[in-house]
Amino acid sequence: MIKRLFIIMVMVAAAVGVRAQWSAGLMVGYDYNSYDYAKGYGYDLRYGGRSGLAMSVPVQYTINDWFALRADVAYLQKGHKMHRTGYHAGPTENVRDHYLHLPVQAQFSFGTDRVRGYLGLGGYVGYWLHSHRQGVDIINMGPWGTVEDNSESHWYYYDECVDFLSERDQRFDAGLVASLGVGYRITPCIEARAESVLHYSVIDTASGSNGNLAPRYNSTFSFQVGCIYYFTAK
Amino acid sequence: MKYTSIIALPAICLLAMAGTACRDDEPELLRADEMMIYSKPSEQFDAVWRGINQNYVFWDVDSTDWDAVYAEYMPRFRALDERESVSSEELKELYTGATATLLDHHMSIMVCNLWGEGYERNQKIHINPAENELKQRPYYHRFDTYGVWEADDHLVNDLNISDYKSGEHGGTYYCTAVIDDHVLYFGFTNFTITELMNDAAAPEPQPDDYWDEDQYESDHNAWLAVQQTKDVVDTYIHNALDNPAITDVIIDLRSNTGGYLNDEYYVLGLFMDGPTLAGYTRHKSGIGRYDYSPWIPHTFYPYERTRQLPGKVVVLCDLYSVSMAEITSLLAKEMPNAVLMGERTYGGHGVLHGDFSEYYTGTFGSQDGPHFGYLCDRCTRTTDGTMLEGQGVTPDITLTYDYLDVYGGSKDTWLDRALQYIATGH
Repeated sequence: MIKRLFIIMVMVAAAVGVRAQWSAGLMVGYDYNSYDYAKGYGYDLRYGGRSGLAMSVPVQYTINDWFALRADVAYLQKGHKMHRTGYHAGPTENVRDHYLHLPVQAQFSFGTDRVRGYLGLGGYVGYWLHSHRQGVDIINMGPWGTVEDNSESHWYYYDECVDFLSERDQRFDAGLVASLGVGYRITPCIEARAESVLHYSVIDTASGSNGNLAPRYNSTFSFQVGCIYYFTAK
Repeated sequence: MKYTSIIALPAICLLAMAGTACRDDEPELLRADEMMIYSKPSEQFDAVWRGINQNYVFWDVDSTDWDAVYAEYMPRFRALDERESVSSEELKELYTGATATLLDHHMSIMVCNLWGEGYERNQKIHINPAENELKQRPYYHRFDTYGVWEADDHLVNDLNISDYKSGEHGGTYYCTAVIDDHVLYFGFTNFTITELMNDAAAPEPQPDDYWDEDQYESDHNAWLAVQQTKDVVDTYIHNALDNPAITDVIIDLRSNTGGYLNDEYYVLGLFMDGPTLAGYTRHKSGIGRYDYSPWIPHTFYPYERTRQLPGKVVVLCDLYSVSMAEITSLLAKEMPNAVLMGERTYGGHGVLHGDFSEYYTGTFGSQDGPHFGYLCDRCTRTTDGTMLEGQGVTPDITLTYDYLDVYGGSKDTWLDRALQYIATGH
């Protein structure tokens, strides 16, 4: 039984190996992070997404002309904006989060030898590297001991790194990834590619110690362009 | 393309379903002060626990495991649900135990015993978590009297004084005097000078504005009383800034229970040489337990005129000096010619504004309702980054409480010690 299984595996590998080829590249682009945070009774709190930089180094193993396995080392800038409305309007905050992602996708392709479309589906794991925030908040004490008006002297401008707190922050990330792209084979070994990628996190950015309060999730959409180098010419 | 569509399209659908299923649903979140209607002791505990859970501003420095408290105490409250009545003593014991280790030294919880029998029905039960910590201190003593009341007797009966004034307004007692022609004394029980100044600015009642003579007399007497108390503070300010004989000042904050931040303008603000950083404050910036704002500078500003005294500013404090009295004590430690004498203070350094919607933090419930939580909405730290909540301000010179100062006639050994320091420098 084991012997039969081994022979089948060798035959499959041999058949696949005829057309298999490694490739690697560099993709750079723009991303937009959507911050899904149910603010509950924070009626006047408004949260929005932020755009940033996306970079990835894809490594691809093409098995045949319609299927490949792809893994990336990706850097994504996530984050969100917050501002208050209504009576307490004024304070605002922009948060920038830096993530390292390792997405692994099953990549399906279609098209001609010169121009091909790609569809990738898979999952990723990630790590929250760094957080930074910048904003404006109200100063509680004015020249006469009270905040009497909204003049500039009553606002505190800040721009600081945020220290991680294990009780608050879940630094591990994971989720689903989907991509759609198009490539143009410039030379037998070099392909120019443009693609859009969605990283859909399923991990709450707040740790379990955050008091069972509203969870918060990131969904990051990126658009990247770059080059893929095929180590074996087609 | 055929293989792509056969495999990829179903995979997309599967992934989309998996993705949406993996995220937690939004929980039902009510504001702590919206959970005011309940019928069982366990529901009351749930409301109080959630109020503290959502509104507390010290979670990252407080060692209390609040989730563990819920797990431990909810079954005990549920056991009370089955009973016909619950005694106030039982409720107090449970809430005292649940809140025993919380750090906020301003915190005060009121719960109404809706299930009591006889006179205990609707009885209000008050829990003050700070009391547990205070009793652990080796120098703990009960609250006997305000420092300014002790000093008042000693000033009048034993010391060489001039320009003595005293008065009361809105529950605050003020006293000022000049000792030995050059030491200015100012003591008061609460920081409500701003309120006094505002009330004193009201126009004098005129007889023509009244139909009722008795009402006019009552209002006019009340107005006069406010003016007389304002005169105490005005006398202090005049002597501090315009009396050339004054070289030293004693500010008496013993057992002062705090009050308005604004009041520093009238107290140490007379002697600041410019805006003085007293520390930093932080409030909540969202509804998450650990959503905090940055540390924002907490600066006090000088009075419209100031004076640099040639001598010393001595601030007296004790175990029951709390809140604004402690902030003033901290500020004194930042001033080059000031010294703090007395006991390590209460440890209630937080700031309260009382408007839950301002920072989604702090006070919740209602004093007239079934429960009320009195919490800070901002916490503070010193200029060097130390949080003194629950610890208090350590004086430069430690004094020992002597109950005979209170019960042994008109003596006030702490005031004498302050005068000795001014005279000798140690």
